[in-house]
Amino acid sequence: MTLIKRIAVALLAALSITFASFPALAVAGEWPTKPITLMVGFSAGGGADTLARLVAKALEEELGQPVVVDNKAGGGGVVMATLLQRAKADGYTIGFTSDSTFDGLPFIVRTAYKPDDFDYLVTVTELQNALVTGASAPFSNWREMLDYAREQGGLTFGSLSPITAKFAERIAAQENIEIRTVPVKGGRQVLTDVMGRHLDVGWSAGVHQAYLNDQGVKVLAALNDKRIATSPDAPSLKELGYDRSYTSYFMLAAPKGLPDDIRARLVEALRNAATSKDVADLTENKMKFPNVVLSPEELTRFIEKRSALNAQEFGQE
Amino acid sequence: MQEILNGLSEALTLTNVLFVILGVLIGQIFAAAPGVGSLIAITIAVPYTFYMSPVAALGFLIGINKGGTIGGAVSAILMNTPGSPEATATTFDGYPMTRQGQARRALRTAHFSSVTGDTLSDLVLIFVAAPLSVVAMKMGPPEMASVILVALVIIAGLVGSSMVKGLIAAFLGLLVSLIGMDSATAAERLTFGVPELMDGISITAAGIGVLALGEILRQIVYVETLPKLEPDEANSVKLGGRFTWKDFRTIFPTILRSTFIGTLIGAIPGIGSSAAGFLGYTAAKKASKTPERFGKGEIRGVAASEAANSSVVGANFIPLLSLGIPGNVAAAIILGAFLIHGITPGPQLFSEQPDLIYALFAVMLIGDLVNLITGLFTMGLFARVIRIPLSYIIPCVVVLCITGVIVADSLFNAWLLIGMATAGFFMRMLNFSFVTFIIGYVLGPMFEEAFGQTLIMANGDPLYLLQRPIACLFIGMAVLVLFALLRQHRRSRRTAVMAE
Repeated sequence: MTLIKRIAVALLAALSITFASFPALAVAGEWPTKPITLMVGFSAGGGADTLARLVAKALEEELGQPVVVDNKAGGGGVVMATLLQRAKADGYTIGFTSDSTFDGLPFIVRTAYKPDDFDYLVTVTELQNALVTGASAPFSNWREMLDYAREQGGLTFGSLSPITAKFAERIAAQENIEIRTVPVKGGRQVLTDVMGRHLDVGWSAGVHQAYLNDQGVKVLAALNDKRIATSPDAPSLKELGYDRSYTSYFMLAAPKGLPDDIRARLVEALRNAATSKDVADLTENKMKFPNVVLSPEELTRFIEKRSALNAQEFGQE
Repeated sequence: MQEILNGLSEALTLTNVLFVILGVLIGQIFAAAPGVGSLIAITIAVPYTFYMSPVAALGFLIGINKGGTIGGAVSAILMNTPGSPEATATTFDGYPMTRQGQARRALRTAHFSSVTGDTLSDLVLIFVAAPLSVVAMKMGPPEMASVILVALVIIAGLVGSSMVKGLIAAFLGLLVSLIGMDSATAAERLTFGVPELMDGISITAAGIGVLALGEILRQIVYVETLPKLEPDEANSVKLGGRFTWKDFRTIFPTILRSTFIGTLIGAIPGIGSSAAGFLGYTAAKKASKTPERFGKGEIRGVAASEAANSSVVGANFIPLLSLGIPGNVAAAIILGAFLIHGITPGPQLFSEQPDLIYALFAVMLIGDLVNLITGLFTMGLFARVIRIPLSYIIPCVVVLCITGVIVADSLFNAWLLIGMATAGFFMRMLNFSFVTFIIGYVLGPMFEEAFGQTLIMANGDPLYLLQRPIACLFIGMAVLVLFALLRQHRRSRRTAVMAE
């Protein structure tokens, strides 16, 4: 019996440690009076997580309160967004993910949240979406790729998500070529598969930029609205004559209904954090992602537009 | 040559060496505590490395990774509770050795096997990374699917005494691994609308639950039946056995075999050290003239598992450095740290920053040496744990397991952990193989992913496989192993029947 008692005591101790680490209840006064939780839609250790941690550090300096990073990975940010939607709109819980969590996935997966359940705050970087192939592939530009596809009876395409799959399939349909979409987990795996010529082409959200060499990958087209700085010779889809593009961002959001004064304070602090030296250096110089910081209004408009587009794209089926 | 010297002088500063030592010690201690593991240590450590010089940062993280290879064996050997799936095969003979009063000898075996395996695979990395990186490039989805098939078939040899129960457990493992969002279609599987389940049952919750906490629950049930130790009696419990030069000679061929297996597995991104540990163990048992001694405290069993899972650590850097592809989660996190410091691993790294590469190699070898030396002390210290009565240890382990999962995942996953531990407990009581359960859980989803991709690539044409000779080779191997296993199983059943 004593043993069971001991386990009970040990468990109690563990639980009290756990609860003690939760922020104390809000005290009335000037926001922020207690630590802020930044939920991150990616697992610890990757590029996106690192970026979020640097933003958290800069935000901490701006607000004078600790910013606790809490990784809630899963489902392309859906887990994080679901929890964020349920959190109190008091400025003490904010979330970091990519915009597709809000403007894409709700139309594909059954999410508990809708795009207008959040206050959109700022973006930190623009992703560098591109269609890539292995350096040893027998085609080097968009036209040659289409010819190759017609000759071979189709292409295999490494896709990162249902959204990227749908995007590629629409363009393939327009060109009347067959593509076989192979779902791949993570951008790095896509690169490995195209570098080894196991897949003809693949979608990269920017990781490919470190592999632009003769044993790595080459870019066939920029999928963002404009050309990508690291591949100035690869035309964007718009230049190639398609009425499509896929620009996307790493961004921050809060539950809907932040009080106006807190919201103003938070947006200002986040803006400063997102443009801080450390964050800019990581994005521009190390990740090679432009440090694009959209305002709440610009970001909200972007998400509304993309949501409408995706609702149309995926609603038809 | 100049570059090698530059690299060496860059690595051999006092700060760097101190960070490597610190990393190794942290890795050893975190990994030795059941339920915590060196991966958690690496994840926590990454943000601190932002402020270090690149070589110090990498040395620190690599040190943790290396320390983890020997620490992981401690709780497996002393308590029968592997802190992570890769040390599972270490329990097979490590724990029986502890029961026979050979705990210290088992720990030393694990220590020397791990360090030797790790060092040899580092040397392979340093001298033949470039040719071996070809292996990673040749492994497309069809090849991955067929290699995992071979691993599954070989490991099926571990199903235990009842084939049916072993298979049921394996399928339960597969079932648990299915929970979560399917990455291809974003469809939810078995989540019952719970958002926290979208990411699936994490490896921490499943691994620690079934392997460590499940075993602890079983020991709690039996603890009352164990003879009570008086305090002074406890002090006289044998730490047991000396590890002799003769022991090292006995296990050396086993270490070499396991290192070979572990290095190959490590060079292929994505398979991981758990499979290596099991494969190394199975191979050693197959090669042994006395396979019946395995599972009863055979020193070679401990060496086989530990050398194999540790050699994966060095070899994982082969695809990481030569292609920029991380081989496992730890390597992926270390890759993140590389990027923070503005280093992009890949073929160009060797030509653009040769100093850094040689500094990195130097840091790895220093890490091996530190691991060897500090391990002499720490493993001796850890061995004393068995002098503490179980009734004191068990509550500590329970707390460590639960807090470990909360730190690594979330409070929600602590409940999952308790659920998985209960499952692990009943599997032990009812004699279902928790080993096949964990293998199904770990390798099942990898196989599913690669196989699904292969089907799409083949476009419904079975003849497509003929264009992938490497995949054909592996499938052929899987079939051969399967037949060998079936024949052996039938023979052992016959002898068992005759014995009755």
